[in-house]
Amino acid sequence: MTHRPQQRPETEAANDEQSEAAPDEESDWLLPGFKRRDFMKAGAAAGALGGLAGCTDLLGGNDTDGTAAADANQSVPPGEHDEYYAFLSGGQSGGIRVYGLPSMRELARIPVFQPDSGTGYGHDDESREMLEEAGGYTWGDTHHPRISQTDGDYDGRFAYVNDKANGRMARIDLTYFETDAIVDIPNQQGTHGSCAQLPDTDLIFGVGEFRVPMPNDGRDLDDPDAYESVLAAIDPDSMNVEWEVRVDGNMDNGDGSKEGRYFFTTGYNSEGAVTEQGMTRSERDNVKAFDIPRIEEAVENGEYEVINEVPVVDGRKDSPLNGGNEPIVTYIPTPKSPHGVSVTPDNKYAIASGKLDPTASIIDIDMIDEVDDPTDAIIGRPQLGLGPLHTAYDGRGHAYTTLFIDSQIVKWDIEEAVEAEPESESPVIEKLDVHYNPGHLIAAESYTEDPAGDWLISLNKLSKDRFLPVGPQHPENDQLIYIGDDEAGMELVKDSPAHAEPHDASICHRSKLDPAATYDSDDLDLEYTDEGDETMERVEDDRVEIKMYSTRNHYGFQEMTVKEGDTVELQVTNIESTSDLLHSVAIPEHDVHMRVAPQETRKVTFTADDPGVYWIYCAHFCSALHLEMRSRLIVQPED
Amino acid sequence: MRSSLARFIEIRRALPLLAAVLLIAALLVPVWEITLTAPQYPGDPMVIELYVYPHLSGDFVEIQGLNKYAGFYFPDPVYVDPNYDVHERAIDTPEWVLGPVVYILLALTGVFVALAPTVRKLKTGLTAQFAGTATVFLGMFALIQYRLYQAGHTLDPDAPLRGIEGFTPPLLGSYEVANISGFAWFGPGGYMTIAAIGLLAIAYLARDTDATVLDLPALLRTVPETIRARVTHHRQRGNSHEDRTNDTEDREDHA
Repeated sequence: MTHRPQQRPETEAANDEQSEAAPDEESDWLLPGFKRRDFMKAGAAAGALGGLAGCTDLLGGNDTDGTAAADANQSVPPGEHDEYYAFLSGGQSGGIRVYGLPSMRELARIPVFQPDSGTGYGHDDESREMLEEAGGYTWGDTHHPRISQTDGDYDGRFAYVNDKANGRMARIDLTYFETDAIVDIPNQQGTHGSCAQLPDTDLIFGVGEFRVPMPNDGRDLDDPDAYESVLAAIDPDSMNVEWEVRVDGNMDNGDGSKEGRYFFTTGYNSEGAVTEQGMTRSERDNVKAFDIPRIEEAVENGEYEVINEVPVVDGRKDSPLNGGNEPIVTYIPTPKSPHGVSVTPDNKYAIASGKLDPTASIIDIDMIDEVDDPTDAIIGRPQLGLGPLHTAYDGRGHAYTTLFIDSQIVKWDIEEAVEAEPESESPVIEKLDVHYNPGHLIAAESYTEDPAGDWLISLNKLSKDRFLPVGPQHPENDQLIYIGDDEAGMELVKDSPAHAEPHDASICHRSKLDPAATYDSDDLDLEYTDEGDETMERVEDDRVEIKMYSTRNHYGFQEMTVKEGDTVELQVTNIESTSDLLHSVAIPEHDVHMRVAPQETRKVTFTADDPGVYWIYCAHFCSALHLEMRSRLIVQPED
Repeated sequence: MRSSLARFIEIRRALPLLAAVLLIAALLVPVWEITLTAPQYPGDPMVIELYVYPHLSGDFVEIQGLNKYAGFYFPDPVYVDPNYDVHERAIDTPEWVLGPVVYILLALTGVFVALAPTVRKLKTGLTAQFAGTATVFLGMFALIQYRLYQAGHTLDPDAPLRGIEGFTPPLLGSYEVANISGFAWFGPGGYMTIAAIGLLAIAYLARDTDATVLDLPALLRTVPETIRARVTHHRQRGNSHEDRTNDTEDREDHA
C-alpha cells in the first residue's frame, strides 16, 4: 500500500453505483442502508480476497476521484461493466479490437481499412467511397491506435491509427465507434508509428518506415542511397497532410513530448541497406528528434519543396536547416536499431529501446537543444535484457519494457537508471515471463500525463502451447498483468487469444468516453426518411432512386420493381429509436449488406444486372418477426 | 355579515373555486401514466401518458410496435383522429371525447355552487357537488376499467404471436403480460383531479363554518406543533441511534 501514491479503491468492480456513492460520504451517513448495500456489492464483486479491504478504502475518503480500482482480481461478474476500454490494433486484419479491461472481453471490432459485413462498413456508398478514395485496397495493417487528448489527458473524441501496408492514416469517431476519415499519405510507403502532437492533439504524425525514391515514380530504382522516408504531419480535423519532413534512414515508432515541441522517432537501417545483413551492421542507429515549431517556421518561410502536392521540408543530416544551432531534426545516435520510443508521463525523458542491444537509452528532453554532441543527451542506459522493444509507464516512476527475445517484461526504476552507470543492471526491479515474444505492451493511460498504474497488457507475438490447438496459425496472446502492487510485484492474471495480429494499444478509462446509443440524424449527411415519406422514382432512363425506412418488421416498400440493367440507389433510414434495434439491408446475389442502426440513414448503389426476384432481408436479428422482415426486389427482363 | 366579495374567502366557497381551476388545468397534462418494463429494455422503462381527451404522449410509438405482436391495440375514439395510428380492430371508446366535457362541466358547476346567493343554497350545492363529482369519477373509473378488460380480452386472433392469454390491465396498479410488467398510476392531471375532489370534500365538511382562508395559517400552525411533539418524543426514545435526518432538523428550525 505504501507504494501507491495514487490511492484508488481496491475493488475493480467499481460499478456506477459505487463510484457515485464512494465520494459522497455524507449520503452514506444519512442513509445507513446505502452503505451496507455497497458493502455487499463490493464484497460480492471483488471476491473474498479484496472485498473487505475494498470497502474500507471506499469509505476511507482517499478515493475522491472515483476512478479505477483494482486488485489483481480481473473478474467482472455477468452484467457488470469493465473499468477501462482498451483499443488494440488488429494488425493485418485491418481494424481495431475494443476490449473491456480487466475482463479482456472483446466488446467490438471497428473495421478501418477493410470492408466488414458485420457492420456494413464498406458496403454503403459513403464508407465504400471512402475506402476507394483511400486507395481501394481491401486490407490494411494497423499498428498504433492512439486516442485524442486535451490538456494531456484522453478526451475520448477520436482515435487515430496507421496503415503500415499502404501508407495511410485513419480517424475513428469514438461517439459512433466507426472510421470516419482516411488519408492516403503521399510520399510515404509503410506508415508505421502514429501519434498525436500533445497535449491537445493539434497534429497527427505518421512515421514513414520504408525508404523509397522521392518521389517514387520510377526514378532511382537501383540507387538505394537515394531512397528516403518522411515524417508526415496531418491536420486532425481535415485529415489533410500539412507538411512532411524527409530524413536519412528508416523510421520506426514515434511518440511526442507532452508539451508538443518534439516528436521522436526511432529508426533502423541508417546504413541505407536493402538486405537484412546490411541493415544491422552499425552499432548505433538514430533516434530522430523533430523540433515541431522550427519545422513549422521553415514551412511558413517557404523552405520546402512540393512533392506530390505536399510541402516537404528537408530534414536530412546535411540539410541547411540542420546546419546551425537550431536544427529542425536532431539525430541522436542510439544503440542499436532502436525500436520503440515513448516519453515519460512527466515529460522529462524519451526512452528508446535498443532492440538489438540489451539496453534502453534515456534521452533527457531538455538537454537535446543544449548539448553539442547529441549523444550527450542520453543520460542513462540501463541493461534490461535481450530484445527490448517498447516501454510503458505506471506514473510511479517505473518503466515496463518488453524483452522480445527473453519473452519477458522487465520493470525498472527510471531515476535509478539515470543515476546508475551505463549498462548497469541495478535499476531492474523484477522480470516477469510472458508467453511468448512480446512486441508492444501498454499500461492503463500510459500515454497520458497521468497513467493509472493498475493494469498492463503484453501483446505477445506467439502463443505456442497456451491454447487449444487450432491448426498451423496459432492465435496471438494478449496477456493481462496487474501492476498495481509494487510490493507484490507484477502478476500475470489472464491469457487472451487474439486474431492476427496485435501491435500497439491504448487503454482509456471508461469515464472519458461517451459513445452514442443511437444515431443523431443531424450527424449524418443523408436525409431522414420517415414512415410515409418513402419514395421510388425513376430519375433517368436506367436509374431508379428509392428512399425508404425500416422498422420492426418491414421495409418502407414491400416490393421494388426495376428493369434489368438499372442502377438502383437504395437509401434506407432505420426509424427505430430504441437502442440496439439494428436492421440491415441484405441483397442476395448483389454483394450488399448495409447496416442501418437506430436513427441511421445509409445509401447503397448497385446495378440490377440479372432479371429475377431477389428477397431483400434484414440480417440483424431484430425481433420475433425478424425472418418475416423482407422485401422483394423484382428485376424485369429487358424487352 | 361579510360583503359579497369577501364571502369568497370563506373556505367553503374558495375551495370549490380552486377545485374548478385544478380540473381545468388537468386538461393540459396527462391524467394517467402506464410504465412498462421488459427484459430487453434494461434500465430504460417505457412510459405511456394518457390525456383527458384522445391523446397520448411518451413512448407510445414503441409500445404500439410491441402491442402489435399480441394484437392488443390502443382504443379507437371513433369521432376524432388521435395522435396515434388506430388499428381497424381496436375497441371503440367513443366516450373518450367526452372527457374534457365532463371536466369542464364539473368545474362550471363548482363555480356555480361557490356563487350560491344564500348559505342554505351553498350548503345544498356543496353536498351535491361533492357527491356528484365523486360519483362521476367513480363511474368514469368503472367505465375505464371495463374498457381495459375489453381491450385485454379482444386480442386480435390474427396477431402473429400465440400464447398470450386475455388479461385485464388495472386502472391503478401493476400487471404482467407476456414479457412486460406494467404499472398504471395517476399522471399529474390525475393528482390534480384527486386534489380537486379532496378540496370539494373539505369544502363539504366546512359547509357549516364561515371560517376563511385567512384562518388557515392559524390552523396550519398547529401542524408543526404536532410534529415537534412527535419528534421530541421520538428522539428521546431513539437518542443512541443517531437516526436523525435533515428533515427533522429543518422542521426544528422552523418551529
